[in-house]
Amino acid sequence: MADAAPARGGFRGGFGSRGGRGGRGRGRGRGRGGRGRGGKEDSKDWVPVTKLGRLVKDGKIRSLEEIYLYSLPIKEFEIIDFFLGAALRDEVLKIMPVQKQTRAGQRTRFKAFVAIGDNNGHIGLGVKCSKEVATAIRGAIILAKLSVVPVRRGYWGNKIGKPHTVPCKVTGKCGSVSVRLIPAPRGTGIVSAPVPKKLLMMAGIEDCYTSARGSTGTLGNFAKATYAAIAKTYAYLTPDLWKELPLGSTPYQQFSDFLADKPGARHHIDA
Amino acid sequence: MDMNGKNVFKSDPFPILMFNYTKPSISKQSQPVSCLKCDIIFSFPLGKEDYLGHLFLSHRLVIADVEEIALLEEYLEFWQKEFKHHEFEEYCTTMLLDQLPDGTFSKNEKYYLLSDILPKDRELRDKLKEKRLEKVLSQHQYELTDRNFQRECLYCRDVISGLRSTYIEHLFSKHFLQLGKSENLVFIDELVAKVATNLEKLICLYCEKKFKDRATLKEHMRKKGHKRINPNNRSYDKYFLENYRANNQVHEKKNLSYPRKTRQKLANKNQDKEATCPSGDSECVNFKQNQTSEDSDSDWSDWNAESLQTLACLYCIERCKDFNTFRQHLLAEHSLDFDSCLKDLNFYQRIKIVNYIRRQTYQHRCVTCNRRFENNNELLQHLEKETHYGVGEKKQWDKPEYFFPTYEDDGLLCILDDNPNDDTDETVANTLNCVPIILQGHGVLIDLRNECSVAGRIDSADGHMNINLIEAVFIDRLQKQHAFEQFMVRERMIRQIHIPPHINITQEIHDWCESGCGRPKLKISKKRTFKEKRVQKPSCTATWIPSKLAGSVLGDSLLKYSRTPIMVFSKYSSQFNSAISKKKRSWSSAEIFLAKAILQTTRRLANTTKDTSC
Repeated sequence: MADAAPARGGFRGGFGSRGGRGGRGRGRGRGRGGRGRGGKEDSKDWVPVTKLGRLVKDGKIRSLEEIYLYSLPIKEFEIIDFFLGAALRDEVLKIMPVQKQTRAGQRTRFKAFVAIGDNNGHIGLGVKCSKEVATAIRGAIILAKLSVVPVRRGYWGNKIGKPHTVPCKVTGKCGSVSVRLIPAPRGTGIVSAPVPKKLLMMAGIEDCYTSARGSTGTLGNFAKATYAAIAKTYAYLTPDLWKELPLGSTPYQQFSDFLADKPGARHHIDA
Repeated sequence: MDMNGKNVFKSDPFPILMFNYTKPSISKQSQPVSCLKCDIIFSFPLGKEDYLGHLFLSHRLVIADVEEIALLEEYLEFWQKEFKHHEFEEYCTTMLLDQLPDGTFSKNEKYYLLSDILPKDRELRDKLKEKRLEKVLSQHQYELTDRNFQRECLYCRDVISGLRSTYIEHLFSKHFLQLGKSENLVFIDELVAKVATNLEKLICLYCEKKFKDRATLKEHMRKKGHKRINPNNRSYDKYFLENYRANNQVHEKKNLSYPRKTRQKLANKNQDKEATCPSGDSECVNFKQNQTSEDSDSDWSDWNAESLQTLACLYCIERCKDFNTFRQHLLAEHSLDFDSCLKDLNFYQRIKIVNYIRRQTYQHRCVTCNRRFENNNELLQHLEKETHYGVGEKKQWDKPEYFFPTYEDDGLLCILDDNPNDDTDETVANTLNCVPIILQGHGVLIDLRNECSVAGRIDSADGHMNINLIEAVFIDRLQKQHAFEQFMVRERMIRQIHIPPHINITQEIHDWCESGCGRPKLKISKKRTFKEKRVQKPSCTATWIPSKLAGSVLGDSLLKYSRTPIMVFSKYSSQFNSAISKKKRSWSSAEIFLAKAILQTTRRLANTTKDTSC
C-alpha cells in the first residue's frame, strides 16, 4: 500500500500513487478558466465501430497500404494510429481566433490548423474550430489523421539510393492558389515558402522545387494546394506502373466470414 | 556546406528568414506614460495605481472597467492624443456628485467617466483586446513548438527537457499536480515559477494557507485535493488562454457568488441564446447557424499571412514585394528585361541562371566578364558603365552546381514560372486524340501492345482514342487472321496507328484545330422574357359557360377537357368558380358545387342568366 518513501529529503520526495488518485478524482471537470484537467484518456481501449476498424484491430490487415490499394474510406482515426502510431508527428501550423458578432458582444473561438506526417511517405491536414484551444487542437489532429494520404517519391536522374524527390511534376490547386512541385536533384533541399516547406518535410520529400501562383497570402489555401499536389503523386500514371496486375479481392470479401462471425456486432457502418 | 550537405551561402546583406519561430517579445520593462491632461509621467506597470489616483484627484476623471482594458498603456496613449485637442465633456459622461475628491462635502461637483458607451471607446477596447490576443497567441505558438525548454521537476529530481508540454505532462502523470492542459496555457515559464515559489514558501497552491514544513504541506495538498489551481483565484487568470477571449460574460463580478457550475451553465446558456436568436425565427436560424459554423469550422481560407515574403533583387540590396514590382525594378534600375532573358528556357535552366547570378553578385563578380570587384557599389558602377547587366552566357551558368539554391529561402526560385499548362487539363488541342476521329471512315492498320494488330475501317472514335472498327481483321501473334464484323480497341492497347498514305494528316489536324476541335457549339440558351411569353399566351384565360349548361354533358366535358378554368355565369358563380379554377381536373367538389348551383338556378333564376359563351 505505502510506497517506500525515497530517502531524498525536502520537497523532492515522490508521492504515493494512491494519494494522487484521490486528488485526480476531485480535480476532474473543467474549472471556470478551463483549468481542471479531465482524467487520463483511455487511449488503449479502442472499440472499433466500422468493419475496417474491426479488421485492423484484429490484425487481419497488415499495412496501411492495403487499405489505400482498394481506396477504402477510413472513418476511424485509430486505424491510422495503429499502423503509423509512433512515427506520426503532428505540428500545429496556426491557432487563430475567429470572431462572430452576437447581440451581447463578440464570441471568440479558436481555430487550429494542424498538419500531421511521419516524415516517410504519409501526410495529412486538419482544421477545427472550438471554444478552447486544447479541444481545437485535439479535434484538428483527429481530422488530420483521417485525411492521411500516401506520398510517392521518385528520382530526379540516377536511380541510386532511396527515392528522394517527387517522381514527376505535379500541380495542386485550392482556391486561387496553385502549387507546382518539380523534381530536384539530390541535395537541393526543399526550395519553397515556409508553409509548404513544412508539409513537404513531413511528407518525407527531401528535395523539391516549388512554383506557386495565385494569392499565396492565403496560407490556408496555400497549404491545402500543397497537400493536393503531394496527394497527386500517386494519382499520376507513369510508365513503370503500366504493368497489369491481377485483380485482388477487397479485404471485406477476403475476411467476410470473420466479419460475419463476430458476436455482439450491433452497429456496422458500411464503410 | 551546412549540415544537410547543401551549398548554402550565409548572406550578410540579405537576411536569412529563419525557419523556426523567433521568440516574441512581450516587454515587461516599465514604460513611461504621461498623464492624459497634464504632463506628469508615471512608469507602468508599477505606477498604475498612482496614475489612476492622480486622474481622479487632479482631473476628476474615472475610467470605467479599468481592469478589463487590454494593453492599458496604448489605451491611455490614444486618449492622451485625443484630449490634447478636445475637452473631457466631448467624450466622457459627466456626473454630478456632492463631494470633492478628498471626501469633503461640496455641492454639485462635476466628475467625468470615460466608458465604452462611447462607440469610439468601445471600438478601441475591442481592437486592443484583439491585439492582445494576437500577441498572446504568438507567444503560445512559440511555447508549443520550442524544444529548448529545460527545467528540474518541482517534486522529483528529474530534469525535463524538450517541450513545455512534456513538463506539464510529467507533473500530472507522475505527481498528479494539475496545472491545466498545456495547449490551454500560456506564459508557462512564469506559471511554473510562481507555483515553485508557492511551494518553497510552504503555501498551499489552492487555499493559500501556510504550513510548518514540507511534509505537512504535501499531506494537506494530497488529502484535500489541493494539487491544482484555484479557479476563483484571479491572479492565475493571465496564464490561461480562455481568459483572453473577448467574452464579457466570463468576468461578471456579481456572478462570483454562484458556485462554479452554475456560472458555467449561465455562460453557456447566454452564449447559445446569442447564437440562436439574432432574428426572431429561432428554429430556422438554428439550422442555418449550425451550417455556417460547420462551414467556418473547416474553412481554410481565412488564415492569411501577416507579412509576405519579399524578393531580393538580383544585383542590388533592394527588396520587392511581389514579382511584378521586381520585374519593374529590374527594368528601371538595371535596364534588364527579365522575361526576355528567360524566354525559351525550361524551369531547370531558369533555376540555374538565378543561382548563378546570385553567386556572382555575392562574390562581387560581374555577370558577363567575370571581373572581381571590392564591394557591391563598384560592381554596380561597372555593370552600369559597361551595360553588363544580363544573365551571362550559357556555358557560364549551365553547370550542375547551380541546381542548389545559393541563398536559403530565396523567394525568387519559387515563382519562376515554367509553362504551367503542360500538365493541367486546360488545353485540349495539344493532344493527338483527334487523329482517329479525323480518320473516321478510312481503313487503317493498328498495331497493338500485345504484339497483335488489327486492320479495319474506323467507325467512330472518342476523345480518349478508344476506336470502334467495322469490317475488321484481327492478326494474332501467330500471324493467323480472324475476321470480325465489329472490333473495339481500347486506347491503352494501341501501340501504333498506320495512317493511310493518301491522307495529308498534318493538314487535316490543322484544319481540325481551326474548326474548333470538333467540340459541340455552345447552345446559346434563348431565355424568353416574360413579355414574349405573355404575347404568345392565348388571350382567352377563362371559359365562361352559362349555368344552364353546367350540369349537362357538354358542360361536363368542357369542364373535363378545357385547359382554361371554367367560369359559370350565375348569381352563385363565385362560390364554385373558385373551386373549379383551383381544381380543374378533380371532379368531386366541382360536381357538388355544380349540382348545388344547378338546383338553385333552376329553382329561382332561370330567366336572369346571361346567354353568352366563349
